Amino acid sequence: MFDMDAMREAFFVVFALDTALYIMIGVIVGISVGAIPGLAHSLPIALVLPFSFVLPIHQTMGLLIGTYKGGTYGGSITAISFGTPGTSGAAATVADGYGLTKLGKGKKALEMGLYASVTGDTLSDLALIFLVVPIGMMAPRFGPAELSALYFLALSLVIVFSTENPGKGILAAGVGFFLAIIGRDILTGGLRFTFGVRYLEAGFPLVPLLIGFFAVPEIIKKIKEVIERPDDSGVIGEAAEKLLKLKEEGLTLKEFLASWRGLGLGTIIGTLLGALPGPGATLCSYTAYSVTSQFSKDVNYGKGALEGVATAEAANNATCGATFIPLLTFGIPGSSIAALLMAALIMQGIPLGPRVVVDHTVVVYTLFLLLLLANPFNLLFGKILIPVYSKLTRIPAAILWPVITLVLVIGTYALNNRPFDIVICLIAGVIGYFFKWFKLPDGPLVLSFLVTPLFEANFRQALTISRGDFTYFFTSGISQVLWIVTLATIILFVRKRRKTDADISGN
Amino acid sequence: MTVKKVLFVLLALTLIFSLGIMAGCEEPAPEEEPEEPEEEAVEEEPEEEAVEELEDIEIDIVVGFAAGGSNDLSARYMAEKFADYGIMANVVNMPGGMGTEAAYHVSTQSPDSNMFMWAHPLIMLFEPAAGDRGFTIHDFDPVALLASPTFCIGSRAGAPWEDMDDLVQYIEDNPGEVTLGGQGEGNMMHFIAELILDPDELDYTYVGLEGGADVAMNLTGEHVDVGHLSLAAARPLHQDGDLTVLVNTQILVERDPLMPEIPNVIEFGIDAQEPHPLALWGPKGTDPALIERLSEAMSQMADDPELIDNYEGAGMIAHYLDTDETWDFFMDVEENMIPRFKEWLEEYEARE
Repeated sequence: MFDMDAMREAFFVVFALDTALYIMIGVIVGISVGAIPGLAHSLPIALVLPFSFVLPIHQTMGLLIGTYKGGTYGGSITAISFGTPGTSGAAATVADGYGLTKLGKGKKALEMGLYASVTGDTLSDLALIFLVVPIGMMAPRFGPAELSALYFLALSLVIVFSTENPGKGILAAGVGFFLAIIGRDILTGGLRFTFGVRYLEAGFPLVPLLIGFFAVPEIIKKIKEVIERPDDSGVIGEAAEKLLKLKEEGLTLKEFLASWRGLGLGTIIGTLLGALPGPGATLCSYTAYSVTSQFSKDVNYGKGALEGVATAEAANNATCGATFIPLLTFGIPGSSIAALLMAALIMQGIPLGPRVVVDHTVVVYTLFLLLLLANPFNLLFGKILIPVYSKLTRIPAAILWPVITLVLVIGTYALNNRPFDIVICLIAGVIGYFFKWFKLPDGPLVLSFLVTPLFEANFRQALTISRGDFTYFFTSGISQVLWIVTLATIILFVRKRRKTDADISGN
Repeated sequence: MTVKKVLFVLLALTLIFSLGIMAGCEEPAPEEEPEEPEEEAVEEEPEEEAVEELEDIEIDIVVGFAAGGSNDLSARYMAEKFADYGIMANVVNMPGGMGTEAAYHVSTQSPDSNMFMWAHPLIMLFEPAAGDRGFTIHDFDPVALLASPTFCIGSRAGAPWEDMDDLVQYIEDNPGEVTLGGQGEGNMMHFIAELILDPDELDYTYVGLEGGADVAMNLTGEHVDVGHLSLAAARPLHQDGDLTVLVNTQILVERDPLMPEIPNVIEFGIDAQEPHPLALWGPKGTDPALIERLSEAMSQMADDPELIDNYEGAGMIAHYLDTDETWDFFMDVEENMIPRFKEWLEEYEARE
């Protein structure tokens, strides 16, 4: 039941200058750190966690929520500007965002990234506020059988990415699959493909893998360019200064609205998947991105389309509000960031669980309002930083890329304090370089890398629960719907493939 | 954007910062903590005087799991209290390999590195017993034990049993029907679950889920009938009727203060209390004087009502064991549980 007094109390706490200050600091820290490749935004959240000991709850949560939202958006800045995602969640933004930058439309892409992030985020927050109970009640109905069906559907999206060349798509997915199973068996702890290297026992962590995969090939390419044409890229000359002063055209309202499909699908998929424990921002954005590819009318989708940026960014930011759904309904953290936010609330003496809305109504309303208030701050500071970042892209390569390389190495190490993560980043970079060389699609690799462990765990759990009875996968209504959608996806792919073949034959 | 505009924005930000700081100083917290009685403040004074004599030191406390979990929270609460004793403790999260990555890292540090590992028997004893992790407990010197998370066995809402005896009876009467969701397979948690419900005597299905949150979600969704999870995660769901906590498995005390009405597993004659207590460990050869200073500080913070409350809220009990007692506790686990665990592991691997 809505409690007007509690809302009034929360309103006066949140709409105060001190709260705004902490949200603002959080957003600035989040955007700045999120834009540093390798430094996942969970790191600044973990770093500001000790403030829970000294600050009151509205300030602490304002700081953390600001950091979370700023960081989720910030990852797109370098993804668009340099083809190097600042966070793993922005990896799906690279193809279209960086494609647009290379076409001289970097500012448009950056603005679309910002507006889509804020739109997806705001709508997800509203979904949290108004639909927390129905969505929250749905989450536990996804058991191992239902999640197996869901992740199989996500795996089937691999083939959607491979419409142009299924062979290459399957090869890319195979590489992702292999990288995902290296390390410890997720259930039994047994070692797989570690070849006696103890550092491989922890497997290939997502962030160093994705950052290396996207950033290192770009660094290699730029080094090659600097070596081949040193005069063009070595110094800041008059020409470069003129380029820095050049004004780029921004995003128009018409262009923003034209991406309504991507914005809508990204927000819906990000919100629904984000409410489930497991998928996370990266899988949500890739899933939304691949689904939208089937509906987009833009022929440049995947190469440099504003709609691609809108989809990926709306989806990854839509997970911000959705993350709170299982947290507030059952006290169950669905992601590493949710665990951090939960820890901050526990440190403030707020035990999360089904009764939190009743026992701590003011706190819950405070969280809702903080989530909403952080969005305009994200918009404001994103807007201030866009001209800075769009100009950074025009700094000569001989200066810019060594700096990016240095930041990449520091960021990769700082995340888990593991030197071996830098090695993983470099290995992923070599793989990424071969992918670019042979024009292999990156989507299947990322999707299969993300989904394989999730699918494997749930599939094995479901088989254990059913004692080997495969009909268990089709018993619930949720499972049945998901299997039908999977089947429809595959049929859609086959039809599209036939159409492509017919077009080629016709030409 | 012109330089003037940038300067204007910076000026505005500075103004907001200044006003905000002023406002923050004046603004009361929405839910204020009750003030501590003055008597306690008076009592603390002699301690502060004693602390002043010692030089401030800085240490790193390495946690083998990501920030936000019970291991991390307990370390952060402890680190905050260390500051009262002139010990500036930084909590460093180094997740990977069930905490063994971090333990290996600390074991290879110099004894004067001021780096310490925050670890329980799962990391220090059970993992090295399951395979070569590059270290053993004998590569470390114990400092002291301070926290012990409580785990429990819970059952789904509406289950046709009310306590452990009923559950065992139900499994006996309905072989193959009950599913127990635990945290992973082939590890200490699985071993403990099978000590509680012996699969050689009871026909039920054990399914290894991915962690406490996963167990809670599957119990709430009624995908499993019984679950092995932390008391902190189970308590709010128990209070809301989404699951029922049957027993706790705490090894240091029988009744956990968080839910004193819940019996300990030992009260049902089941010798399967979980060795989860967290202790601080330095690399072998750490200065005994430093160990003594840290241990002394931990001894005092174990009686600190704020730390006790914080730990209770996070599903842990504050319980101090000094350096020798900590070593004895871990050695007792090594002598009495590890051989059984190894035997069980061989059987489990053969079974799989």
